Amino acid sequence: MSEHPIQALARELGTAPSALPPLDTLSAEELQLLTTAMRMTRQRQQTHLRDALNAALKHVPALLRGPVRKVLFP
Amino acid sequence: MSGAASFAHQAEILKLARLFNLGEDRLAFLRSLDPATIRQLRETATAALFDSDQHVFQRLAAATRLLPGKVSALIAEKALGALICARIAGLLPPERAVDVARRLHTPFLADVCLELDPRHVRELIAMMPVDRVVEVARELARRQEYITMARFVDSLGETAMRAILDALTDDAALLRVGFFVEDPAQLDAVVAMLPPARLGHMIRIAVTGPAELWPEALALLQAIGESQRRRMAEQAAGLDDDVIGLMIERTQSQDLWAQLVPVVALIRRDQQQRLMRMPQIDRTALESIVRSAEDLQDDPGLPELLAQLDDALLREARALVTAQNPTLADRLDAVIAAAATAGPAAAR
Repeated sequence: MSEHPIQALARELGTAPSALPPLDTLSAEELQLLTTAMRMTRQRQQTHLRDALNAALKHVPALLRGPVRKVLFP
Repeated sequence: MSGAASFAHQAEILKLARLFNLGEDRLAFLRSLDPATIRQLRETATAALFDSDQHVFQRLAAATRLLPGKVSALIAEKALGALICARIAGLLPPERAVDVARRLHTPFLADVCLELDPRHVRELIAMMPVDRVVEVARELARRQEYITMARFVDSLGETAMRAILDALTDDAALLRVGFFVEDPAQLDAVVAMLPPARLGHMIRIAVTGPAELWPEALALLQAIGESQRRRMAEQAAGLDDDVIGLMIERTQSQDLWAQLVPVVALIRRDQQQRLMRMPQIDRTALESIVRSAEDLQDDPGLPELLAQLDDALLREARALVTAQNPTLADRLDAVIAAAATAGPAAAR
C-alpha cells in the first residue's frame, strides 16, 4: 500500500503527521509537490555541503590543515 | 477573502517559494490555507533542513574556531558560500561570528542574510557594527530584497533601525519592507520612529507610485496600532487634492474601501468632508463604499463618513443603505439626527 501524501510530507519534514498544520484543503498532487520540493531542497543542501567541505580545506593554511581535517572529517 | 488576508498569503507564499527555490506561481495553490499555516510549514521545513545536517554544521563551526578570523572569512566566501555560513552563524560564539562577519564583503554578507533566520542570531545582529548593518541594508534594498529586510526588522535594535531609516531614502522600498514585516509591534515601533513629513511622503508615493503599492500601504496601515495609524491618516488627509483624488480612484478600482474606511474614520470631520466631497466620490464609488460595510467587522465610523456627503449624494446613500443594509441605515439616520440636533455649527 502506498504511503498517504500527508504521511510522506511529514516524513520528509522530519515530523509526525499530527504535528503538521492543517493541510486538509490540499489535494494529493499538491501535497506531493511540497514533499518533492522539500526532498530536492534537502538534496541540494547536502550536495552543496559536501562540495563546500572539500573546497574549504584548500584554503586552510598548510600548518592548520591536519587539525582542521580532523575536525571536519572525524 | 479580505484584502489583508490576500496580502498575507502573498507574503507567506513568496517566502516558502524562496526556501524551495521554486517560482511563486508553483505554490499558488497554498492560497487555500491560512497564512499562519503556510508560515508554520516554512518554519518546519527550515528547522528540518537545519536538523538534517546539523552534525556537519557543528563540525564546520568547530573548525572555524581553529582558524584566524581573516582565514575564516576567506573560506566563508571562497568555499562555504552563503547558505552554509548562514547555517553555522548561530553555532558560533557571537563575538567570533561578528569577527568573521565584519571581514566579509558587503554583497556576500547580503547573500548570507538571504539565508539567515534572524531570530536564531539576535545576539550576533545586536553586536554587529551599525555601519556594516546599514551597508548590508543598502545592498539588500538595491537588490529589492524586501522580504529579507522585513525579517531583519523583527530583530534589529532601535539604534540600527534608526540608522537604516536615515540611510534608506526610497520610501516605496520602505513601504514594501513594511508590508512583509511579521511582528506588528515591531512595525508599529518603526513607524513611530518616522517623522510626520516622511509618513506623508510615504502615503503620497503609495498613491502615485505603482498600482500595487496602495494595497500594500493599506495592509501596513491595518497592521499597525491605532496611534500610529492615526499619525499616518492625518498626514494622508493633508495631501493635495490631486493626490486625494487619485487615492479615491485607486481605492475604487482595486475594491479597497473596506481597508480605507477604518483609516479615514480616524481623521477629523472636516477632513472627512473634504474627501467625501471630492468629484471622484460619485454614485459608483458610493455603492462600493456601502458594500464595503459587509467586510467591516467592527464599527469603523462608516455612518459618520457617509454623513459628510453633499446633500444629493447623501440622499442616494440613504436610499442605498435602506435597501441593502437596514442596520447601517438606522445608524446613518441616528448620526444625521444627532448632527441636526447639534445645530448647523456642528459638522454633521
